[in-house]
Amino acid sequence: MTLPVQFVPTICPYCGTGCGLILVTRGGNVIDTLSWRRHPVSDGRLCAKGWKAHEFIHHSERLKAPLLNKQGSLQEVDWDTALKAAARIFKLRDRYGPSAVGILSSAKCTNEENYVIQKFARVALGTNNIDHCARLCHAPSVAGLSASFGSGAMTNSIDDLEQATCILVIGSDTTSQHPLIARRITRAKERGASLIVADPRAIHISHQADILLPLYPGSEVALLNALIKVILDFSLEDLDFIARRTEGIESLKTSLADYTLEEAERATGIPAEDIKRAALLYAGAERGAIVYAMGITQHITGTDNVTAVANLAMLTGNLGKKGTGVNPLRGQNNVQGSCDMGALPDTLPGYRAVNSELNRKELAEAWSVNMLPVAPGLTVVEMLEAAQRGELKALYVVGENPMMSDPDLNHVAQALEHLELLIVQDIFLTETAGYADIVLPSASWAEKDGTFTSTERRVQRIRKAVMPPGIAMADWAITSQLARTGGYGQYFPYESAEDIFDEIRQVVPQYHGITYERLNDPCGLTWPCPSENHPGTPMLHSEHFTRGNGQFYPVRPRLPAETPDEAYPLLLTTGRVSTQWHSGSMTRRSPSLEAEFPAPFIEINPHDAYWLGITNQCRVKVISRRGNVEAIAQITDRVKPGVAFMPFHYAESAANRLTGTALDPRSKIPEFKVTAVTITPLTPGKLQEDHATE
Amino acid sequence: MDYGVTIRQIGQALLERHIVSQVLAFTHGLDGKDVMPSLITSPEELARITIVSRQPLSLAKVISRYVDPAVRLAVVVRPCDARAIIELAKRNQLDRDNYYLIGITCYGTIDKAEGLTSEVYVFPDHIEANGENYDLNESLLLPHCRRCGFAFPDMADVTYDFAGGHLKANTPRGQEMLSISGLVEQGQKIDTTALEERTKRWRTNDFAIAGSSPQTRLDYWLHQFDKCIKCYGCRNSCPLCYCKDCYLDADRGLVEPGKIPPSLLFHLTRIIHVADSCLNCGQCEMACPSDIPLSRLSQELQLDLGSIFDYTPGTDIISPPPLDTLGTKEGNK
Repeated sequence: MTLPVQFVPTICPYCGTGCGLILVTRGGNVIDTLSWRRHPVSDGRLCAKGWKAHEFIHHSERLKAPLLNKQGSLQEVDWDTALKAAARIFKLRDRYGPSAVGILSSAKCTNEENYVIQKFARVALGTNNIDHCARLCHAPSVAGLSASFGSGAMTNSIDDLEQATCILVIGSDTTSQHPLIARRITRAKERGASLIVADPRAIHISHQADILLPLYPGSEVALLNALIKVILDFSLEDLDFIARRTEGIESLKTSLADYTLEEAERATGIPAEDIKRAALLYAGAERGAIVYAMGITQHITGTDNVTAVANLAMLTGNLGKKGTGVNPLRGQNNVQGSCDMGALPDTLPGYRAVNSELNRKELAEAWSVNMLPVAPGLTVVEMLEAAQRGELKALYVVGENPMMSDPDLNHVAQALEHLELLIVQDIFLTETAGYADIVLPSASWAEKDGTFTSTERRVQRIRKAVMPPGIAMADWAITSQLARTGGYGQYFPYESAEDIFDEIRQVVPQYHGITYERLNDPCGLTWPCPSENHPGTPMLHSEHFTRGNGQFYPVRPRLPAETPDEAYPLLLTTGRVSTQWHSGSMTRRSPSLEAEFPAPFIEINPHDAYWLGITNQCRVKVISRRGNVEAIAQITDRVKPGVAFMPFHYAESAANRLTGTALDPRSKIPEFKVTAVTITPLTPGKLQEDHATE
Repeated sequence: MDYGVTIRQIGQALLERHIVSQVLAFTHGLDGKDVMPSLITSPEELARITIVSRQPLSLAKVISRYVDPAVRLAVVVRPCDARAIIELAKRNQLDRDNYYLIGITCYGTIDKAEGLTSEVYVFPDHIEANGENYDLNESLLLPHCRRCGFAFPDMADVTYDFAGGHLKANTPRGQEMLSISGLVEQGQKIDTTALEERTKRWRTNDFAIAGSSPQTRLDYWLHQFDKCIKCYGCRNSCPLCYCKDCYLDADRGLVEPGKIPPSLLFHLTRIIHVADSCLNCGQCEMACPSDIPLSRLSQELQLDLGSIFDYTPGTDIISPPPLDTLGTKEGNK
């Protein structure tokens, strides 16, 4: 008799909200997804992606065996052969030095896997060249909020948002990208809270807004400073909070002494009166929460933007209380955890700076090695630039797809071709894997145990529901095997995800009190959790900031790296749609999700479409200084004149062929949100076609 | 207290005599508030069954979607699941004869009530949590449960009232189930006057919007549907949305793909599709990330339609779906 149908509670693999769901399995296959009523975050609800989280698991294109590039074609080999080939990374390290090798880890992978991968970089390869896609999403949050508050994470919890009396959503298409967080905003709204939405596009959550602030991408500091200026002018700041808990208010005041709403209006394109109303609404609220995402971070001013958000919240005393806070919504399911685990070039596990001798010594002791690499490593974009310059010789990419997700893909391709060795470990043959010398097949999230840490720092268990396809293995197991092949097996003795977690607990202070047994609770545990009887910490900075006092840092508006001009007259901003996910390797193979948004498109305002000669649904070519792609024009006033929007999910028209590699100097995030482009029609629109056939 | 003894006794007899090969029921989940559906194959595992007053998903949906139709199955059902099974059988989605329905009475279910951390049972006049009795605070009950009016699963083969110990066979199969379990019918139905009053009161309360002006009603529902994020959760969790090829799917061309909120066609199509069979199980509403009171709308429609056709979904397998009976006489009604 075959095994009966089974129901496995686990965590959604898509966004950072951390929703619980139930996988339905039969005969070794996941056949459906159900919502999980008991789960504290999702509460029996899911978004479209969550409901179809199972659809890619058994896709025919899953990698089932390692592949080796033999004379230009990828051929299946056994693990032994693949690992021996991959072990060449150690030879290249020996020949060129540890700074010539690098690793991209993955925010899709578990904490255990990120921990093993960063340890592999530091202990087996001897380099700090380890980074992951947090660099492309919330690096400025980590940099900015760490400086202002002492911790880079979301300050409050998701359900806390329901307690807010005013919510400012800035640069977050919340209903599309964090739907179950949007639910809390909707509920707050129905309880009488006011809502301010600042976004270049008319997004779904705008429908509920009391005040809309449709700013030009790149003018975030101008807007946030203007809100602060109004609050100061009307003396609505929280004097008591500022006096008791912050430093540096005078420098903030001085920096804005001459700033005017007229300047802000010119920079943002928002009427001064609306900026004023929004400032008064937020400052007048008993409990004001700020929610933000990529619209704040993906700019060369990303860290400044985050700092301005922190200033605004501190100025009004909106921290340390329920229903308030600065709430960066993390993108990937485990991007918070990947950062916690130290899959970053400048911090060891638990956010301990690499450039502190004491930290390195502590970790070296914990890992039983003599020393750890001293120099902070390269970030995502820097590694690829180093590869192009010939300085980085080998790259080991685990579950990332830079050939889709990084800026300026034409250059990424050249960089990958320059490498002497590219190892790609993934569940599908991604665009990046197409350039690989060795492809290692890994288990998907439904095929392994481990933990994810959600945007609200909630550590939760995922559970193995089925076996991986073919001879694919969990990422932690593959990387540990590779370490053994290279002679570093003694540092990677793990036999289960729990073995690794037990080591994480000893090394990462924030996780010290968390055990797998405690994580059997459907609520998981929120870090910091310093001891085994500690209940976890849903709210940060309640009595004092992690760094002591909160610090105001004045920031000034700066222009984006590229602004529209005569040759490239439109400002292109990139983003996502509700049913696709990032580089599309999962959602584009999920039929229900692909059917909603099957083709690349670009939103263009009717005004611009008119003078560009573009009709609705016609094919256009979008051209930037770095490349061009085709897309279908959607003429819509969702975007304002002068601004166009494109999702970046589509390999056939990858928006990141257009974007540039200008970086925020502090966090090294590229400016995905601002690219100067021009658009030309390729085929006549449908209407004209109809006329032509008449 | 554990009220599941009788249920497990029946399940045990059915499994041990190989009358069924699996028992489908809710079992203890990861903590006291969590229950998970389980398909149990051995008598020892029956101890995991719980009949606490929680109903996080539809077991009827589990049967029709996931379980091999060849499996002889016993199912521990609340009235809404029993009625869904009847409706599905009537629409040829499953074979009623395959199922041994062990019905438990239901006086309402609870979602996440603060403090009620563990074993929670809703009685007609009080709530028992962790062995202690509390006053019945109706606001703790799920909204659709307050309007339900079906406490007794008399469409199942056996009815067991955990509140009063009443045990009854409703079918010849039910008599066989009791006899092989060494059980006899006992007790009688409790007085349901207070329950009927509660149902009526909450229906009046929840359907108040229907009594307002067409414009007010329209504005209300337009506002509700504007919140929709097109997750398909209402469809995915409905036990009666069984179409394998659904009109609402993005590739069917009825509803514009991707657009959020979807056009009203999305909701109207779905609700009309289940209007004659809606059991008010509430799963659609409990799955809605936008908290749209969906079951309120579909129950109201079903009650309207039901009163015209004199039809109550899921009560017996004989009466055909109402629109099946549409005839020339209808014009005179």
